[in-house]
Amino acid sequence: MIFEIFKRIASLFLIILGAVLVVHTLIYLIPGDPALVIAGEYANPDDIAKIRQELSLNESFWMRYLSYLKRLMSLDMGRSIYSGIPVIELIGERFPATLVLATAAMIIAGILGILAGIIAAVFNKTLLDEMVLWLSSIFISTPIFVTCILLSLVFSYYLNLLPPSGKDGLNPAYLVLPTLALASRSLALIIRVVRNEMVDVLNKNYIKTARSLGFSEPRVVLIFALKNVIVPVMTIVLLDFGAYLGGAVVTESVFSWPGIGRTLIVALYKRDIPVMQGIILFGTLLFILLGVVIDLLQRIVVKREE
Amino acid sequence: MKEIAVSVIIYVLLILLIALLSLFPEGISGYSPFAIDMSGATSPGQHHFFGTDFLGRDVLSRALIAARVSILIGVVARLGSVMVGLILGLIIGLSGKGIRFIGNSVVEVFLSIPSLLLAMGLAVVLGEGYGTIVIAIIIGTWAPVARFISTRVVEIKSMDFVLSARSIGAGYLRVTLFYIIPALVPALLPLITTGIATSIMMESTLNFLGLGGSASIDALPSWGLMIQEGAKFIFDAPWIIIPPSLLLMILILSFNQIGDKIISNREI
Repeated sequence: MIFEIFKRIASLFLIILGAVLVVHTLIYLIPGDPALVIAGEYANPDDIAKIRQELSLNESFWMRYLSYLKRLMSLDMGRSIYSGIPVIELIGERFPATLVLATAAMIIAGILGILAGIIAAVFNKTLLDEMVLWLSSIFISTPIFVTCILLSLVFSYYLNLLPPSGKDGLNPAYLVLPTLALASRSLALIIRVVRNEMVDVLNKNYIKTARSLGFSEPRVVLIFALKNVIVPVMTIVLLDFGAYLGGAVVTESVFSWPGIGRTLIVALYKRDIPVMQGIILFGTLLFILLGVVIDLLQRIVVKREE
Repeated sequence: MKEIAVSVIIYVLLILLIALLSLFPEGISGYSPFAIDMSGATSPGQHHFFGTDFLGRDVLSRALIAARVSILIGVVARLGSVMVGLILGLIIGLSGKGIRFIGNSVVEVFLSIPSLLLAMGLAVVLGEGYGTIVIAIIIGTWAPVARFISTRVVEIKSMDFVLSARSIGAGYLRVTLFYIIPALVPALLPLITTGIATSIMMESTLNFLGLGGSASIDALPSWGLMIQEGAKFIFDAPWIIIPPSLLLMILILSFNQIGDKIISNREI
């Protein structure tokens, strides 16, 4: 058991080292002199030298990797080339807004997905089931940016119900459209999983027994069957978090939501490499952490079933 | 079974139709996708069936020609990523413990980096152009394929038909080429079709964000770029975004459905 845990931690450590290496390598893929490209066409030699210094481009590949790692240990991800703000501060400042958005999206996707999935399963092989499945297929096939734009077209232009973009303190009206857009794809995935899982479960013998014992149908569905879908749904929601971060870049830039995704896209446009590397790495670490959480969750469930 | 075959054929025809229309955009709408008309954006009407954009270019014509970008990039990037994943997956699955550990770790690293974030970073460092998008998608998506293939290969390696081939003296290369690879083929088709849907989604997202693609006036337009440009005028000229959005959704839906049908067919 202890050996197992040790092995797991060692492999996590290895993966993190690898991920840092990949993100670190990005800058070397810039064709030509990275400092020159980042500084832009009209930069003077001083600026270029400064950027080279700031990104420690004078060091060799591996030396720079090692010093990047060493600085990461003390939570130093470098500073933005443009504003000079430390990347870690930038992330700390912007991440809460993204977390609010992603959490809201997860909750909405979870609740609506389970509801729609149950409805489809209970009315299995009827028109209602078909419609729910079609809706989920359409959501799965729609890129988030299209969802964003169609939502803002309908709700803030035609119906004039919600603000088109921005964030106003804790005013929830601004949260509605970005949340729906971000939730749409995992909502579709959850509907499918819940429906298929429920259709399976509802045909099992113990459910038939419960029915024959006189439990009412809603009770059978809610108490006996629902228990089985909680873990798969949590897994999807957590696994989808990586996609949420990608989706957040799109959603936040369309709706001007001041989170980490919008910070990343601005950094990408300005070729602010330290900020870009920092945020990609931050997303990766979050994703790895969630993987561990899912793993633990599943182990606990397996143990309880035993 | 028959029903499934029919719906697969319908979706294949739909994709072919979009591809065919993209070859003759002018023939359908009567306007060149690049012809600029200084009167600016006009709403859908007699002359321009889906209206014109802010430079007075025919929206229908541009939406049709843009299918070339999505279909080509989607297919090429997916084939590339399956190719890379297949080769690396085979190497990992067939090797001994040491190399398999290293290979699996590399795959694990790429699985742990959110693919769209990695593709965005790559699109920026590699510079403008549709080729950049292809490379960014391949690097962002090969890992799940390699993981899938290597696990399959390890399973197949110990199956009876492979072991019996070994026992009658078939060499390493022979077993790989004539026994293991053919056993992988059935799994490749749904892997490719649903993967094309994902590639198109990534491609259009990168183009929408203006990462990688080209925004110059004489460049081939993409749906992502059209929607991004249209979004700026969405409240004045909402018609600009409708044709590209619909075509994009139909194309992705078709590839997804084909993949789903093939998988569900196999389960029956």
